[in-house]
Amino acid sequence: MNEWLKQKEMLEQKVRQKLSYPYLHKYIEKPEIEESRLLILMMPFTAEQLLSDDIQICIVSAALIQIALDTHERVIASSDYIAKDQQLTVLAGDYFSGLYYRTLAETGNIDMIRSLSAAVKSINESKIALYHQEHDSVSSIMESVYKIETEIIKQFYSVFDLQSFFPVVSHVLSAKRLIEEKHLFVTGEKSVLAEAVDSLEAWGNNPSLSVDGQHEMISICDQYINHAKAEVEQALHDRSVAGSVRELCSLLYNETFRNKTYPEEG
Amino acid sequence: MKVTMLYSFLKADIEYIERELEQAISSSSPSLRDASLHLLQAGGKRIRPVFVLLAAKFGDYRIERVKNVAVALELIHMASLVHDDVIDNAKLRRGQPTVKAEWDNRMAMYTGDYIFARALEYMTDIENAEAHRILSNTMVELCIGEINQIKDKYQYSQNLRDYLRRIKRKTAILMAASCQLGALAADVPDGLHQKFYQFGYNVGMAFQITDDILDFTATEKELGKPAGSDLLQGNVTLPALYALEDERLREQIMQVGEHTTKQEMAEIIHQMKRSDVLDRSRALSQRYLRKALVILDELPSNRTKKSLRDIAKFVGKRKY
Repeated sequence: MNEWLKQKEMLEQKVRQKLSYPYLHKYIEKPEIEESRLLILMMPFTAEQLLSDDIQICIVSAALIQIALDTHERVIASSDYIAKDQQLTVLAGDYFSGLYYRTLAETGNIDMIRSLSAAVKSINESKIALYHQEHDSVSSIMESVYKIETEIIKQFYSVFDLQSFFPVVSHVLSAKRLIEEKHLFVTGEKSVLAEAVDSLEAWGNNPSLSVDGQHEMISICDQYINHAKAEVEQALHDRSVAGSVRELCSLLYNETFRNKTYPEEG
Repeated sequence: MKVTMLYSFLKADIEYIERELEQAISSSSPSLRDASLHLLQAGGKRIRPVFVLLAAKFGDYRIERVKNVAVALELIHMASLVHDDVIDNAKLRRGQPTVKAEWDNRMAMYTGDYIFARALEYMTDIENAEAHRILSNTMVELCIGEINQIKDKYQYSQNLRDYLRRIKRKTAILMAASCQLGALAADVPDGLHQKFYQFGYNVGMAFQITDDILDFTATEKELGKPAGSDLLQGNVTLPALYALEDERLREQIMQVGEHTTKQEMAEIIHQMKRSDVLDRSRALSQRYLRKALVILDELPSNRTKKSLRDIAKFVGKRKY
């Protein structure tokens, strides 16, 4: 495990090196790879496998494209004026996206380029569907959330034929997002998910939910979160899964599902 | 003369590319489909796909293979325009509302990212590692060029080299890559496809310098935006760079900002027209064009060469 964690630090360092651009960093929020996502990218590989240049390059590239998409999420939706930091945020996202492509192109890994591009396409379609409230049911909304959070990992795993790892990590990733959205909703902040659910005809298109409506919204989130939690717990008890993987799942489980209570929820 | 007449023999293939572009941006999301189509239908010269096709004519021209490169490059160009409009807070492009104006910035970001992803999907049909190295380097350099444009805003101490490096990244390298990748997709031999890069690069440099001149000389109607917009936004282009050498003009130019009125800008443009700055800028554009034509002379002779020559000359002479 220690060797594996050393590899994690090394990969983080490689990602940081790629992202280094002093002028940009003066103006934009520092780009970071979420630790859980990096763990998930590394999870199926042993410490020895992680020594492979090809695998490292693929992990770094997948991290870069995620960072590129996350960077673009920081562009303010509407404004009559665009400040320099926002202009550079747009360009930073494009730059990181270019870096992911170049990193893979340098080794001729066209398969991974194809797969990650497919993921980005699907993610943006889902983001727009969510943002523009194009859904007609709660389940299709959740499907979009699921795609947004998991598509990069799914495509990454498919290139290495590691699909068996996907179900458990997909539950972790989608649950993390739902927990965040629930928190936003409960604290009165803007929640894209809540707005999408709110827009459904069955909800009466009511921009300001009644108390019952709010409880219903939280209940929906909890339903999906609890289902994801149960699936991950099952994976943790599955003796056929390698010990190191279970250890990592345990780390992710604790990070995602433990200590997530908020005063507003009581 | 319309530029499309210069490659009329490619009409069927260009129409095929146009249909492929529409296919490329189709999506299950109605909003995304609308936004992408909105941009596609706003038009454009499609100069990058044209260069791809023309360069490919020097090799084993198979439209089914070459179209992937042509579509990819035009999609990359489209994606960059969507994001550029967010950066510039632009309300109009080619007389039509921009994606960000019609929807909002968030929609424009997602649309641009989607289109870029589609571009790479098309490009991955080309199983040529060198092609991907060229294109990916071009993408990164393009971004660096745009970042430097922001960095260089209102920087009146910049020099000619700064400007040329900026426009190389901003414009010339994508045109260069269009030519080179078209040649590569048609298996044009090593050594020769690098000449296509050089040709496209020099045409691209001339194209951007001409664009920068037109920002001062064309009318608001022709430009689709007020004359002198580059300077108003702090972009120090070649004519302005030359104008800064004149003490009186320098003083006027350094005062320019978002508060500058149309009349004030008209007066500056009038002074610039009276000076030699525009002629000097045109002369530099012509130098790049001559370089492009010299390189073209080194390429094998065929019918396509005439089209490339005519397009290069058109670039240098265009009025808007």
